[in-house]
Amino acid sequence: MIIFSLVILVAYGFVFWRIYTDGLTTSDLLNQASLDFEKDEALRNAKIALAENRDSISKIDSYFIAGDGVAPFIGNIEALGKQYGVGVSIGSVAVESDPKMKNDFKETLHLKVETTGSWSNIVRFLSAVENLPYHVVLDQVVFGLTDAADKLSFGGVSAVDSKRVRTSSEKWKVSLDISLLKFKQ
Amino acid sequence: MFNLLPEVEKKKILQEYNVRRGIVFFVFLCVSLGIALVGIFPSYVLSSIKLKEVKDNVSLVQQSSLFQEAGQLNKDLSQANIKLTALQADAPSVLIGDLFSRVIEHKVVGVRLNGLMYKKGATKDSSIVSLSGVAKNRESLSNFASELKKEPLFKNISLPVSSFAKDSNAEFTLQITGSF
Repeated sequence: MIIFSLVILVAYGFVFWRIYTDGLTTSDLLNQASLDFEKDEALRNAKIALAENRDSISKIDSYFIAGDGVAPFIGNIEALGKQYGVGVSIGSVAVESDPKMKNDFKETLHLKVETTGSWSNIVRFLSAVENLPYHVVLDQVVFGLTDAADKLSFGGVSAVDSKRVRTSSEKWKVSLDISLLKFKQ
Repeated sequence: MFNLLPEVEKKKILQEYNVRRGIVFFVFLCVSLGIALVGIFPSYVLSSIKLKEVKDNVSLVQQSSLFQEAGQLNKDLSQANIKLTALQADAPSVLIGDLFSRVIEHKVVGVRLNGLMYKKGATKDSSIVSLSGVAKNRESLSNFASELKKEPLFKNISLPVSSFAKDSNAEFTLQITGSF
């Protein structure tokens, strides 16, 4: 009788313990399921957003110069110079990677461009360069007037200041330090 | 009556009573535990079924095609994010052509410029525009500096005192700092 009682007691304890552990496991799994459902919802939204913005996302790449696109880009700058009537010469071309970032997908292209031309043409050229469909950053721009026959001096100390007339030989020389982002080759 | 019995008989009877009490106790215990076991069994079955159901649901969600694509989706999103962050960094707040145009707008009659320089600063507030030129007289130069100070884009206008040394045809260099 004692042994039988003990057997029933042990069986009861076992069933009670199983119910308790099953309850805990179910609770954990329900939490997990709740997180999974949220993750599922987020993934679903992300997938929809990616599908809807596929064109815009692929357009992001167009703001970077292609790995082999340096020469065509320089060609574009020179063509732009011709279009706006300014002389363009490329001083230097260098590519720099960020040493802090390993496996970086991009690098910075540094260009030094020398241009000569009239003030208005150069300003229009500068605006065109800044508005190129790339991530153009002008690190330094130096405008210098060359060949001003009168050296800008004012004649006398008259109270009335006559407007200065520019000569045809008057040109501005501009040096541009341009940085752009490009994909690594 | 019980007291009339000999001591040995008394002990035997008491022992017999104790055994009977024990049997009754254990019978009740067995019956009670049996009833409890039967009573708790449906709960055990229900909790097992519930556990199985939740396990099935979780594995169903985790095996969905969306979860399999999660890695690729995260990769695509993070790549787009990294590219956007790279493009946002160093984005100019004002075009240099416009910046020079604003400087020219403030030029007064008695001042002629022969050099302009823009240098991007390490921080957004430390970019510099440097101007050089010739001023007809001190008053023109002073007026030009005052006009430039009216431009909200320019934080600080620095004009060395030495620029005022000559009263006519004074060559000057002026430095503007600001967040451009």
